[in-house]
Amino acid sequence: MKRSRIPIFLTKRALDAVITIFLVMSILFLLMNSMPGGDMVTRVCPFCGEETKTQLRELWGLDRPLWEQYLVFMKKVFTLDYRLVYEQEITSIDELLYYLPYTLLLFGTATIISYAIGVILGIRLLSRGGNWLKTFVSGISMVFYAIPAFLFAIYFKNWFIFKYEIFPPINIRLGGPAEVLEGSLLSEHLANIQALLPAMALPLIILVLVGLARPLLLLRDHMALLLDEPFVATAKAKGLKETKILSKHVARNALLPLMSDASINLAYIVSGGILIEYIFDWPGIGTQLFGALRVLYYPTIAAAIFLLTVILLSSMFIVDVVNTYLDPRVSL
Amino acid sequence: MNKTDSLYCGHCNAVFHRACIMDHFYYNRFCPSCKKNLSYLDMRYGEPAKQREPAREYTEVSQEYVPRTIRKPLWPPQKEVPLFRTSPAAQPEYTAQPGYIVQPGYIYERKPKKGLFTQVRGFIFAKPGESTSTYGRFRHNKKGMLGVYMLIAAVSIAILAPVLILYDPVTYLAEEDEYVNHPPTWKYPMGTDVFGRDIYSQTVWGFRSAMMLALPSALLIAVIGTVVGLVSGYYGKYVDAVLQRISLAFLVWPSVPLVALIVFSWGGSQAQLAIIVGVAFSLWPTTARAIRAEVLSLKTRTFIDSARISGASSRRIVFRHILPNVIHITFVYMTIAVASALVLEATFNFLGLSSPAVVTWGQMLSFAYHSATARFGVGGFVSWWAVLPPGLAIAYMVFSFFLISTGLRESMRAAVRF
Repeated sequence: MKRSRIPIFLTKRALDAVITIFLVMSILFLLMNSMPGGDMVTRVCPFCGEETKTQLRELWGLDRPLWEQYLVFMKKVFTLDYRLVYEQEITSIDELLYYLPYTLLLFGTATIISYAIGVILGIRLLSRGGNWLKTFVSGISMVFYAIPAFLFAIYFKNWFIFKYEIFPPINIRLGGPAEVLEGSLLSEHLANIQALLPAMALPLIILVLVGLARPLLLLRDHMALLLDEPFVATAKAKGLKETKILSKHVARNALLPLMSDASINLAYIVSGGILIEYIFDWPGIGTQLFGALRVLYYPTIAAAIFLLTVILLSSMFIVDVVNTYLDPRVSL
Repeated sequence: MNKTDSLYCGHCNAVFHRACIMDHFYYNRFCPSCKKNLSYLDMRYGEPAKQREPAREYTEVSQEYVPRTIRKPLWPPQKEVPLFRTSPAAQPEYTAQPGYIVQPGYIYERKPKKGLFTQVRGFIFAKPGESTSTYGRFRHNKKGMLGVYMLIAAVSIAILAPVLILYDPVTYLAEEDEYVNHPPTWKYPMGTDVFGRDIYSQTVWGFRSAMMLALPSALLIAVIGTVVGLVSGYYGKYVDAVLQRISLAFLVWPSVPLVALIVFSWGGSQAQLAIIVGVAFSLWPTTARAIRAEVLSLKTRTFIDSARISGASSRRIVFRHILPNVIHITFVYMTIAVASALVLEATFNFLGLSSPAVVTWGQMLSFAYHSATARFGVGGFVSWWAVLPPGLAIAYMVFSFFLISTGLRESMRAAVRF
């Protein structure tokens, strides 16, 4: 990778990200405007008088033509102006940014752990011996791949938190950004995370079990393909141990398609995981999003979709960079 | 001899030098001594503790080429030989040459079409070694065929559902109080739920709604993903750039809020349709990307060039020459789509975004959970007979499609290798 290509690459990716966000938010605008049952004013304040409704419509710009609303919506999207009225001090994006660390904590840990375990188990699955154990591991991973994740979440919560009381429930209510004192945000986050850590165990276990199958099965498939390559025979002929051949020679080559698959897998982990967040009342973006979907509070929905898109795009970017670092054939 | 210099066969314990055996395995896939189908990894280090059976004598295998068929002579003497097979009708000036005689079975002649009986016999008695196509290899893939049989069973249950059910799945309620929320008995083979509805009938009826949900979404994904992938892979440049951006946007849209918003905008009675559309929207980018990657590699092959030289339009190249080579990828992603459609459907029932008039497995699960929670509180007793049948049915369907996709991938892989 030449040094001079990095700025071009970064510009390209930034442009890509902007276009993607634009398209995603356009789809959102389309969906929100195709909803029957009146516009937002009717939903927020269904029993208001006609005068109040007209005033609100004027205030929120809903009496203007649709294309103008669309332009204003796009402007608000890219200026991070997610609020109903101008007097609102804490916008939806502030609120979601407050909950962002907890989402990142849960999903980041789950992704890293599931990929680590998946890679280690995937390498072990091809080694000689322990046949019934291998069948058991791949069977279990297939089961978790096949059965819906939220089903596990609901029943595990039911049994292990409430019935047998093995894992603690989340017994802390975060106040949101409104109750944060000036300058003590970081310490508050740290205190909250410390309080949340024991309750994180069960959602983490479920997310890991669900995310485990794809890297594991994929790695096994790719490695089985690579075992017939001549370089494996060479390594074997050099007198290397089987463990070393599998982990140092075969797995390294098989990791590359795994990494390029990771960006798609991330999308599925996040879109399925926000539901698990909601089930466990984990104070994250997913819970906020579903709470907003219940009452159709548009600013939070838009802000949550925006933030999720940004998270996914940046994690895809990181995956790409790591992929470039690992694979000499890929250039930026 | 050093310990790592010698290797022995795991089957017949014959000892080889590592350099020799490595050279042998570079070209062959069998043990030189026992002729079993082995790879290098089946060889073991060192010398065997004792010889299991005496090493067999090396019998001379004739390496001479024995022709099985006699080639037709190149008659008539040809001045120019076409590079690829063409029909005689395409080259009238060539067939009109004075010395030209139509040779039956020669390249210009089409193979005689097999009769129905021959085709059926070949279908039933074909041997795995003889099958060269992806489809032929799939038919001898144990996992894949098991999945297909499971799917056939599910489809026949769905078709025969009106015959198989014992009670009406929606309207029938057990009259007697003792049979409400009752474990399996002779009268109700899988028990009843808290409304007194027969769970067996509901589970059987669920096969219908699962099919109604899974097949359209799979079809939508196949059509959208394949067409977009083909177009963006073949035409490249601006078309590719635009389609890639669009597919990225759909890829990052989380599917659950998408379907929730569609359900909100269309109403709960359209929940099934919304789930079909939502699954298709969130899953077509993966299909399109996989197909695009395959098309990009196919585009550089020579058969595309020869098609183009012979004057085929790009539409014909895409749909006649490239599409048959990528269609199996579409099938793989279709099977994955079916599984995720079922899972998403169950998810939406738990969120309460569905119509109660349609009996689905997800709805049964959701009902079992919510009724138990309403009665005994969170963590209370959930009746196992209400949870197991629909849960197992979902797992059954997903597992059958998973097996099909695994079998497809395995039979595709062999096609890629050789």
